Amino acid sequence: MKIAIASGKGGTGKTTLSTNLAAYISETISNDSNGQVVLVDLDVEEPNSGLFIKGDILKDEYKYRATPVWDSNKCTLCGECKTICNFNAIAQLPNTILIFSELCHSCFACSELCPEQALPMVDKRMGVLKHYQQAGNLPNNDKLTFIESRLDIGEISAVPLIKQTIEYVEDNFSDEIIKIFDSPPGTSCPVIETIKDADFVILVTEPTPFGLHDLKLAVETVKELGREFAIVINRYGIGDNGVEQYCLENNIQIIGKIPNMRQAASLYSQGELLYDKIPAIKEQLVLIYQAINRINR
Amino acid sequence: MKNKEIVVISGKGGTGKTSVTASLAFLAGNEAVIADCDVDAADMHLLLMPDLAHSEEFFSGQTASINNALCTNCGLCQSICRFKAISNSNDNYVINKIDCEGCGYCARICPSGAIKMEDSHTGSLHISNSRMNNTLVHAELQIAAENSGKLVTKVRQEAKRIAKETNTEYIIIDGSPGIGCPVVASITGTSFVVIVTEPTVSGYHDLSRISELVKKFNIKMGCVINKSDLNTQLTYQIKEFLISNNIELLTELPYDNVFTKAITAGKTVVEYATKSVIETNLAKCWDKIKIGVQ
Amino acid sequence: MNIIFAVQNNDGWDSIISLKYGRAKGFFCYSQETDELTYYSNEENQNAGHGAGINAAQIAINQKASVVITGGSMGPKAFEVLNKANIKMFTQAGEVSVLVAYSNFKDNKYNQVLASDK
Repeated sequence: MKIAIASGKGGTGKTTLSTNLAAYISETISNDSNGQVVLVDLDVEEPNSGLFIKGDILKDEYKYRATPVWDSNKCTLCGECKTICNFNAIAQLPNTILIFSELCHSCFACSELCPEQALPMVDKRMGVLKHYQQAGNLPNNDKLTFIESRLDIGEISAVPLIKQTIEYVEDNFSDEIIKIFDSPPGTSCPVIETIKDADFVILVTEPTPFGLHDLKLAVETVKELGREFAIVINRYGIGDNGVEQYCLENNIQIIGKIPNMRQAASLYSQGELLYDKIPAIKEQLVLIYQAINRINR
Repeated sequence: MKNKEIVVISGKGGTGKTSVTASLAFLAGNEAVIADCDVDAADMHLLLMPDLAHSEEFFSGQTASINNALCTNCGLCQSICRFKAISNSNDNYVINKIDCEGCGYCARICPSGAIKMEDSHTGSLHISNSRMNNTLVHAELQIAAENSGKLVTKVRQEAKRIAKETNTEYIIIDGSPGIGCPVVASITGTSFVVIVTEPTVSGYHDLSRISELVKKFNIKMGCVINKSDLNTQLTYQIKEFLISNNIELLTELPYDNVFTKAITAGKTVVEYATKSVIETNLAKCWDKIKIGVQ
Repeated sequence: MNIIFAVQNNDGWDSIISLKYGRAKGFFCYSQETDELTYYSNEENQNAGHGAGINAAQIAINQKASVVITGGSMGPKAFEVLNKANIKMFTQAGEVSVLVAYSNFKDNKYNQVLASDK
């Protein structure tokens, strides 16, 4: 089961919920034999889950995507490739074809339509995936796997790396295992990639007008993708009841209300998990996990 | 008069960037034109309450569409699409607009000319009068649209044009989050970068990444440490970092729920918490920025 | 010799030089041999998501330009393309008219840009 944790606005507590929920679930399933939970940080531009969950590295692999390279021996400088490319990734100089691979979307059009086959596609590194086992800072840690990918600086699109990371997770873990995806912020392409195949989406928001404004955008996105979803309100108790009102009016389920506490902010600031130190937060995780299990059934 | 562009950024979300920017907008009043370049989560209008005087639609990139009357169901398009955006349902080939990257490969090779590329609507741009006696240029991105630097560039261009026409000295920009293309588009060519950070491990981590990026552009930087009493040890480390990287400490603000209360009341924090240390510090911060930008 | 001017509007010699290159509104190409000033719109390119600089540089190459003049900046990709094509770049014109920029250029008032400013 794939659960994506997303939010319209940044800084609402996606990573806090993802890491604490994954750790909590790993603890509760530790007694039955085959249970397992996988936490996947798909915020590949700024992966932060690793600041809270540490473990022994099991695998470390580069991820690649295909981009064209120019074969000057075959090229007749006809200029077709430059015309074909819709992303301005190719420039034609008097005697040279120049390729900007960071702008390439790997559509293969230039390569396959080149009349001289002078633009073979070659793998180019775009980032690195790290697979950790047995998160070391947790008591019952052998049930938790943590995977993160990090985009190389200068790469403009996070989408291919997110796609490959999800494929890696699907290849390595069977369907019934709970997988928690920590999504990037916003409602643009990288988020879509993260949530479009999720079985369940949890939208994290804050009870403020900013939180509500961005939540509405996130809800529209999830609805457009036809995903099942519910809301978790973080920093509950500050702000106003606008978010609750909105959820009530639109028949959206709120499955958890994580209380606003200075202690939580302070523990977060030190890179610590919260649920094992703050009972009120653990109570909410229990509720959220119950909601997930209801969906899973 | 040469316009001075001041951009506020933060790396990660939730550090209080928009609260700080809106406060600066209030303090500046008609001395500044305001540009909201955080187009993914454009929230500033909630505090500035603009009148949406002028709006325009915005297009970027393309999406394929199939004319089923011309389609011969040969399936070539589906076989070459690397984004799995073409599927066949009830003997009709259809494009999934969300998956389509707009490369145009299918349209180019379709033997019956059944596929056309259409400009995709990516957002809208608004120019408004805010309740603070200044102009706000803001935009909203269409859902599932790509946040390239383009809409950000457009917002800045409009703000600059207005500043010139109205002879306004400053342009205050609420920058984009992250370290990718949109943030690059929000900081290039500005006169001063304000980084809002917080003493958390992720805040510190993002401060170092984002300042690294700004350094490449050779722009003067200043830093606001929000929630500075949350973790005094990290605040100390951040200050050391600022000194060794030649970044001016503009001000420190305490951890205070008044930030949220102000947002809830639809006010900037300087209006809401009058005569507080937060108001005083932000006012000093604005003065320092005005000096720094000279 | 052909000279490209990045401009903000299409008003012949009175057009104002653009501070940007890749996302300039358009370009004038002045041919010293034929004394012709021709406008090329860049509005489609202004709407490019990415890579506007590359496309703009391609316009200069297609017009067989030897020199490109802008008002303020040159992005890294445009720089790379123009540099490889041996086209000289001058970016200090500011927001003056094409006529003023051309006369300043002839009087050697501008310095050639040798590295991208980004």
